Amino acid sequence: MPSSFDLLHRDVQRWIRDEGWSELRQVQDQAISAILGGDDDVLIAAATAAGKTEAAFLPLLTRAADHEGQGLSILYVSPLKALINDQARRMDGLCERLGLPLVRWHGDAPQGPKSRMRKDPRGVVLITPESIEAMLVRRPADALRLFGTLEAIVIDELHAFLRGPRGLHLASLLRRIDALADRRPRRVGLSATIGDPAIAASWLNPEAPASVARIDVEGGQPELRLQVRGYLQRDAVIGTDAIGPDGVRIDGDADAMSAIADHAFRYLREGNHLFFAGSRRNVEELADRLRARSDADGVPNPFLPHHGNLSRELREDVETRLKAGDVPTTAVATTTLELGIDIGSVASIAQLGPPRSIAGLRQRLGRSGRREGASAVLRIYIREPAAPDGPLGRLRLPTVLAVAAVRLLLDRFVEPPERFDPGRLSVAVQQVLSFIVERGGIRPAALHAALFANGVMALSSGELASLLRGMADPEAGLIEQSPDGTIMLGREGERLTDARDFYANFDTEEEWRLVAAGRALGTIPLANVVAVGGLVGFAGRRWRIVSVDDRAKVVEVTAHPSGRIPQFESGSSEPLHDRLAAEMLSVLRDADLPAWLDATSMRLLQDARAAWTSMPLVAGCLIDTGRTTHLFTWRGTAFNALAAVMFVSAGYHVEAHDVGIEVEGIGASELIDQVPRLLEMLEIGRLSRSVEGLRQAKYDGYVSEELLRANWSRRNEGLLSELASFLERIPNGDGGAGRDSRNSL
Amino acid sequence: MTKPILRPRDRDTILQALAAGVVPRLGLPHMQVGRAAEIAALVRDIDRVADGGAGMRLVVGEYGAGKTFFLNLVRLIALERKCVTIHADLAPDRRIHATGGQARGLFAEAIRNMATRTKPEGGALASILERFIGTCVQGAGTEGRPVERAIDTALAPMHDHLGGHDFVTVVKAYWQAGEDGDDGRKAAALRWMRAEYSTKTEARNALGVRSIIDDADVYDSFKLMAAFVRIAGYAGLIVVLDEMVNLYKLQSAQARSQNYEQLLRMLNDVLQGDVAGLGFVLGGTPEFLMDSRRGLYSYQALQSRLSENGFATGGLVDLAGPVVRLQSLTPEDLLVLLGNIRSVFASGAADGELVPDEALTAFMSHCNNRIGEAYFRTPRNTIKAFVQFLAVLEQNPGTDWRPLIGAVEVANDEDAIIGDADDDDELATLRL
Repeated sequence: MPSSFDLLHRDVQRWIRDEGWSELRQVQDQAISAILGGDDDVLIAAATAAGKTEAAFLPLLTRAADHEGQGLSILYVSPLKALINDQARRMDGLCERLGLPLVRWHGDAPQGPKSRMRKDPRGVVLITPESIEAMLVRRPADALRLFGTLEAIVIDELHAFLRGPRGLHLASLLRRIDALADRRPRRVGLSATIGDPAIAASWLNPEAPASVARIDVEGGQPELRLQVRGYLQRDAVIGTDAIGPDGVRIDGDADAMSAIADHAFRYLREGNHLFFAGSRRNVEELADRLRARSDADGVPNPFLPHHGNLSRELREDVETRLKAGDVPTTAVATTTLELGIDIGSVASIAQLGPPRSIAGLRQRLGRSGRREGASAVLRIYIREPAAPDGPLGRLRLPTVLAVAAVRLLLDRFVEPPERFDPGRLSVAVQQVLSFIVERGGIRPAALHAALFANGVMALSSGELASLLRGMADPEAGLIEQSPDGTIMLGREGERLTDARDFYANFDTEEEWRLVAAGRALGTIPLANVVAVGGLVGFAGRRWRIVSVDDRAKVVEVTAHPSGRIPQFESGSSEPLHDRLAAEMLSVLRDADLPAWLDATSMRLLQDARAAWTSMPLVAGCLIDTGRTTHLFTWRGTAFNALAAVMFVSAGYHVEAHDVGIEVEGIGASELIDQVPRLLEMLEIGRLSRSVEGLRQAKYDGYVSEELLRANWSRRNEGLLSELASFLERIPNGDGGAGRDSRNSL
Repeated sequence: MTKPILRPRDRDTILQALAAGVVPRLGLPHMQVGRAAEIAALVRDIDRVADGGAGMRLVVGEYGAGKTFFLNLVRLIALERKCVTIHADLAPDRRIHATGGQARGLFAEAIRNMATRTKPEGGALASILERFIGTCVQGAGTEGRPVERAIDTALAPMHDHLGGHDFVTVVKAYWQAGEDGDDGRKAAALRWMRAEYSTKTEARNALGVRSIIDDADVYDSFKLMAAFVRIAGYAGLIVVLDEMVNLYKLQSAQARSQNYEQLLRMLNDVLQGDVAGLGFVLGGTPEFLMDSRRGLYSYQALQSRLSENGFATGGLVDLAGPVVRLQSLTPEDLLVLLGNIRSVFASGAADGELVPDEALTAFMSHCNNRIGEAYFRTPRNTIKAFVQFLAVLEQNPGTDWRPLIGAVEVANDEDAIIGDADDDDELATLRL
C-alpha cells in the first residue's frame, strides 16, 4: 500500500482491508494525499469505474470521523437518483463502521432517515440539486441546520453540470449553501475525463480556479466497439406519420426505419440497452415498429419508449426494469432526458442519426461498459435518401457528421461549455424567486452580492436591475417591492413558487392527457387535433380515441391495431461545435475508410467525397444553384446562426444549416459584390435587433426582450471579428476552408 | 403624567439607547412629547382591560415614526395599572400562525418578556407563579385546609378554557416541585408555560400532561395566561406585538391569510366581549395595514372591521376605532423633544443644561437643510445626532456649540433589518 494509506483513519484502513483490497488505485492514492494534505478544492477526473467515489470519500470520511461536535459533515450532490442509491450502497458499510449516518435525500428516498437527520444532523447526505432547491424554499430553517456546518461538498458527474441550465442552477445553489455555512465548505468535483480541466476547475471555484488541486488519471477506459450503419430511404421524405397494422408504412413500402428496427430487433433483444432516437416522434415510430416485431414473433416486448411526454408511471416502469436488470429491456429514448433516465449500466448504446455533441455522446457511452472487463458498445444508425437532392444532399452530411463525430470521440475531444449560456436569464429568474422565499424578501443589492456577483451566473448590477424590472412588470407580477425597498413575491411569483415543478429547471406545458382504462399514458401537445374515433400511436402502441374532455384536457383511448404518430413540438436541434464542423470538412478531404463503417455507409462516404471533389465551388466556399447560393463556412451552429442574422438584417431570406447557410435570391458573384456592405452591418447591437425566437428556456417569458437581446449580444460579440475576417477572405477567392486551400489549413 | 425624578442610572441608560438609535426601556416619560390623544386612548383601553374587559389596538406609523417608543410607553403605563405585560417582535421565524414552530417561537419570546411592575425588564413568569402560590398557601393557612385544595379552588375557573386542564396540572406540578425541592421539575413547568417543549412525549414524561402549547394554540394560550394572571391578583394581561410588517412580508399568500385569520379571531372576540382581562396592542407600518394585496386589507373581513373613519382626515382624528395612526411629530413637538433630551443630559436640573434654546432651533434648521422635512417624520436619526452632539459638548467643556452644528451628520433613515451587502448605487436605490 502507498504511504497515503497511512493518512487514513484507522477504521477506514480496517474497512479497506476487510473489503479485501490489495492496493489503492492510482486515483485514490493521489486524491487522499491532495484532500488530507490541504484545504483547497479538488477536481478528480478519471474514467468510469476507476474508483473515484472512494477516492473522494475515504479521505473526506477520515476527516469527518475525526471531527468533533455536531452537524452534517459531507454533502454529496449527484444529478441522478439512481447514482445516489448506488453510492449509498457502496458507502453504507464504511459510514456505519465510522458511526456516521448516511442518508439518501431525493424525492423517492424514504422519509424516516431524513427526519432523523433533520433532528440530529451528522455524517453524510446524498442529494440531487432539485432536492437542495426544495429544502431551501420549503424548509429554510432545516437548510441552515443541515448546511451550516458542512466541511465538504462532493459534486459527482461534474462534467454533466458544465453546460446547460441544470449546471447553472447547481452553481447558484452551491453559492447559497456557502452563504449558510460558517465557512465555505471545500468542493470536491468528480468527473469523467474532460476536455479542458481548467473549465471544470473554474466552475468548481470561480473565485480562485488556480487553487483547485487537479487529479487527472489517464487510462482505465473500457475498450470501445462501435459501428456506423447506413440505411437508404427510398423517397426523399424521412419519417411517416401513419403506420398500418403490419408494422410497415401505410403505402406498403418498407422504409429505412423498418430496416433499422429489423437490425435492432435482432441485436438488442437480449440484455439491457439504450437506444437514443432523437425526437419524440422518432422514438414513437421506432418503438412501435419494434413492438410490432415482438408481437409478430410472439415474444415478450423488451423495447419500451421513454420520452418527456410519457406519463411518469410509464417512464418509471422502464427505469425500474433497467435498474433491476433481470428482464431484457431496451429503452428507446430522446436526447433531452439523458440525465433524467435513472439507470445504472447497460450492455450497449444505439443511436439514431449522427451525434451532434461529443460531450453528449461520451456521456451516453459512459453508461455502457461500466463493469470491469466489459467493453463499451455503440451503434450509430444513419438514414440517407436514396436519391439525394441538391448539393447538400449529395454531400451526405449525416454520414459525414457521424464519421467526424466518431473521429473526434476517438481523439478525446470534448466541447467546452458555452460562456453566457442562453439559459442563464431563465435560471436567474427562478433563483431570484427561490431566494426571496428562502430569505423572506431581500434588498436588490444584497441579492446581487449573494447570487450574481461572480461565477457562471454573474450578472452586472445593470442587468440584474433590468431583470428585476421585467419581473416586477404588472403583467408578469412575479415580484413587488415594499416601501423600504425589500423585494417580495408578487401574485404570479407566489403561484410559481408554490407549484411542484418549481424546483426543476425543465419546462412542462399544458397538453392533452392520454388515458387508457384509467391509466395515464402521457401527454401530447395541444396542437394535435383529437376527435373521437381518431387514431393515435403513443407509448409504442396504437390507440383509438373513445372520448375527449375538452375542459380537463383528457383524451381517453383504447387499444387498436392502427395508429397515427402525433406531432410533438419540434425541439431545436443540439448546436454543433466549430471543431465538429471543421472535422466534417477533413472527413470529406481525407481518403481513409475506417473499419467501423458498414458497407452502405462506406459507399455513402465515398459518394460524398466524390461529390465534394466535383463540387463547382466559387471563391472556395460558394455554390450558385441559380435560385439560391450556398455559403459553406465549415463552422459551428453559433457562427452560422450569426452569419444568418447578418444576411437577414441585410434583407435576405436565409436558412442556416450545419456547415453553412443558404441565401435565397442572390447569385454567387452578386454575393461577393455585397461583401463590403455586409461588413458594414457587423455591429452587434444592430444585429441583435434581427434575432427572433429568443425565448427558449423555462422562465424566459418573464425576461424583458431587451435583456434577452443583450444576452444574445454578449454571447455573439466574440464571433463578430471571426465573421468579418471570413467575409473579407471571400472576394480574394479563398473562402477560408475551400477544397483547394487544404495546404493552408 | 407627571415626570418622575430622574435617577443617574436611568439617565445613562436612556442616553446610551438614544445614541444607538433604539428605544430606551426606562425613563420614557422623560422623553415623550405630543400624542396626548393617542396615549389617552390607549390608557382607556388599559383601564377597560383592568376592569375585566378586552381591547385591541393597531398602532400604525411610518418606519421610524416612533411606534416602538410609543408601544414601550403603553407597556409601562399598563404595568403602572397593575397589569402583566408580555411583548415580542414578529420576525420571519416568529409569527401568529404557523406549522413549523414559528408561532410557538413567538409565544415563547413573549412569555420570556413577561413583565410586572416589580419586574419591568421581563422574566416575571416565575415570580407571578410564586405570588399565586403564596396567596394560596396563606389562604389555606387561615382557612385551615390543604394547600392543594386552595389551589384547586382558585384555579377552578381555568377549566372553562380550552387547554385549561393541562395548564392547571402544570401550575400544580410547579407547586408540588417547590414542596419537594425538585428544581428540575420546577424548571420543566416553566419550560412548558414558555412553550419550549416541541413534542408531546417530552412534556408527558416531564410533567404528565397530554398536550403542549403548539403553533395552533397561541391565541388560546394568551387567553389562558390572561385568566391566570387575573386569578393571581393582577389586573389583566396586555400583549404587545411589534413589527407586524413581518406578516406582510411573508412570501406565501396562504401563510399570510392564515395569520390574518388568527388576527380576525382575536379582533372578533375582543369586539364581541368574549374575553376578559386581555388587551392586544399591535405595531406595524402603513403598508401592513393598507396594502390591498398582501396587507391586512387583503383579508376582506379585516378590511371592513379596520377601515378608518372616512371623516377623520386633514388633522381630524377618530380614536374610537381599532386603528391608531401615529401622527407625525410636528416641528414644535420635536423642539420639545430636543428640550427633553437636553434636560435628561442635565439630569433634570435647569442650570446644568449644555446649550441654550436657540441651539435647539439652530439644530433643527440644520437638519431641515440636510435631509429636508423628512427629519421630523422619522425622528430617530435626528435624536441620535442630537445626543451625539450634546455628548461632545459635555465631554469637552468650554466648546462653542455654534461651529459644531455645521459638522453634524444626519443620515436619511433607512431600514436596517436586512443589511445591504454592498454599496452598489443602482441596486441600493432601485425602485421597481
